[in-house]
Amino acid sequence: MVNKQNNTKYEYSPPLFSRGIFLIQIFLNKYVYDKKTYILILISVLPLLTIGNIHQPGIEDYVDLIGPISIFTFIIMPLISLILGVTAISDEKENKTISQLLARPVRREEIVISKWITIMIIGLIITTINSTILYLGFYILLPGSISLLGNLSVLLGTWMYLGLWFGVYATIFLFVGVFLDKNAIGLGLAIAYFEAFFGQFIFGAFSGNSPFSVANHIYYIASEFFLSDYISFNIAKFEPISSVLVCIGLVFGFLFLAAFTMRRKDFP
Amino acid sequence: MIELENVSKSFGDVVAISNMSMHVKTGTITGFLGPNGAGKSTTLKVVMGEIFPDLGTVNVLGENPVNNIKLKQRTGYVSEHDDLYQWMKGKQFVSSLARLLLPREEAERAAKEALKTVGLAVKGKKIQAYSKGMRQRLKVAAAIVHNPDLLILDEPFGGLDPLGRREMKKLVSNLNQDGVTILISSHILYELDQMSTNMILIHRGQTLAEGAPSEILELIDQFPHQILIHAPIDQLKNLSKLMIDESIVNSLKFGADKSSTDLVAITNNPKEFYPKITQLIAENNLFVEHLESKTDNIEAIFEFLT
Repeated sequence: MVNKQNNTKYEYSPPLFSRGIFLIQIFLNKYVYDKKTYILILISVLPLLTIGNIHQPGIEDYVDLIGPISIFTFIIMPLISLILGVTAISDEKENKTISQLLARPVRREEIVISKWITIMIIGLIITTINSTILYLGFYILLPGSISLLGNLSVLLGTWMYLGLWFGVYATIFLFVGVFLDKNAIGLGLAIAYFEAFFGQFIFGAFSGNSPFSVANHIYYIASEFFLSDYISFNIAKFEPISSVLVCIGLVFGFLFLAAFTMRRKDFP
Repeated sequence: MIELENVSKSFGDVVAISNMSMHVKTGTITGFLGPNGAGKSTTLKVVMGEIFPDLGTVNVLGENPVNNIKLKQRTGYVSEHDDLYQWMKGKQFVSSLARLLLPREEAERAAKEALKTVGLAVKGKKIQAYSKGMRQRLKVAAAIVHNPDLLILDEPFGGLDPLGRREMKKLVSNLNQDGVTILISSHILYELDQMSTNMILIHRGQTLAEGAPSEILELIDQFPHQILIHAPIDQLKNLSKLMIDESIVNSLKFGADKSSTDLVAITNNPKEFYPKITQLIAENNLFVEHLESKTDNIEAIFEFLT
């Protein structure tokens, strides 16, 4: 079975950018073949089931649309970002494929950043699919509620709103997945639902629209920039741009923490 | 090529390796032998930079292995786990990982070459449908695709049938002849003793011995070997007397039952014992049904050596 191996010694080393592209390509392929991705897409269209409960809303009354979108953002979005974020690295650890990656000439932080870019791409695809389905769902199930081409700003706004949720939450959960060896999903769930429900509603109830809730900042950004014609929300003494900075800070802060943790982590 | 000096690593309360030192010379096949849980895989992962040592220094090809991408271009690693992307096809797996080191055309060519080297020619089949032997070969192909100077194999014979083991040994020897230094771990002595040019014994996270296989085997031979002899009772009695007269056994253990046809001979010198007993049986025209070594328990040998 043995043939003499060609003894060429390879001096070539692909540049950082190329290595990143190859890693993303491998990771994206993984999601394409992973049934989990399709289950997440299916879960993400569940809010459509609630459309039937809406009383003839009329698109100008966007508050009526918020019902399903709220379910989406407070229950399903954290769930999707949790599953994709936490499992990004922990799946590689569990399947031991991390060993294959660590044995290659790539830095550990390159693996984390490539994973992050990959889950952002997958998140964008999922949010695009579900916001489109939601939009079309309104168009089909509640005739007259939406003009197919006349209300594209709603589609775009919803998509950006969901994308922002995903971006911030998935990055936090990516860090949780790198940091914890066990029970990452459990802790992630606790964080997600504490933040989405209690952070907004309970803190909100006691102290107005609390700046300590990530969800509030995202909602504030959406009300100011993405869906300003339809929703109104603010955080006291906070400028919208400050909320943008908070979200950017959270994303890059947790991405940095994930890369830093990965650099110093043992993979027994 | 590999130097570990006083390396220790613990996971919580569990000490995986303790004050361990070992050396692997360029151009050798170094057998890394120890019972399960001795710290072999941890040590190899320390060498590969996957685990950070708590104490001590690790030097691989003159460099620190942690996050060292230049070093990874010169090393290949086959882990003990089934660490394959199951949804990929074999060639896709090898060439995808090779793309992290090589230009596209070169990666494709090298992947083909590596698969040919390990004797894997499966087209269109996903890895999840591969047999254990095919998976092992695929892992080796992925590890040698860039022609590394150093190849580390963690329990590569695990789960292979006898033919697969023989082929894997042949592959390892051929790679070594092509100039690849090899560090190979196993918990089974006979898998390594013939192919290795150097051996390291490890037990409870510490190096017990390091040297040529002949020296190591000599050390292991000091362990009281037990040989089970199965023969008719009268033949056993005659054989026992002859063995005692020739002083080739330390002691003899008969079965509890007087009519037992089993006898366990204990010797410190198996090298002398086996040829001598064969000679005694032949010269005295004795009938022995069955003769086998009971000393295949490596943990017992290591306990004895510590």
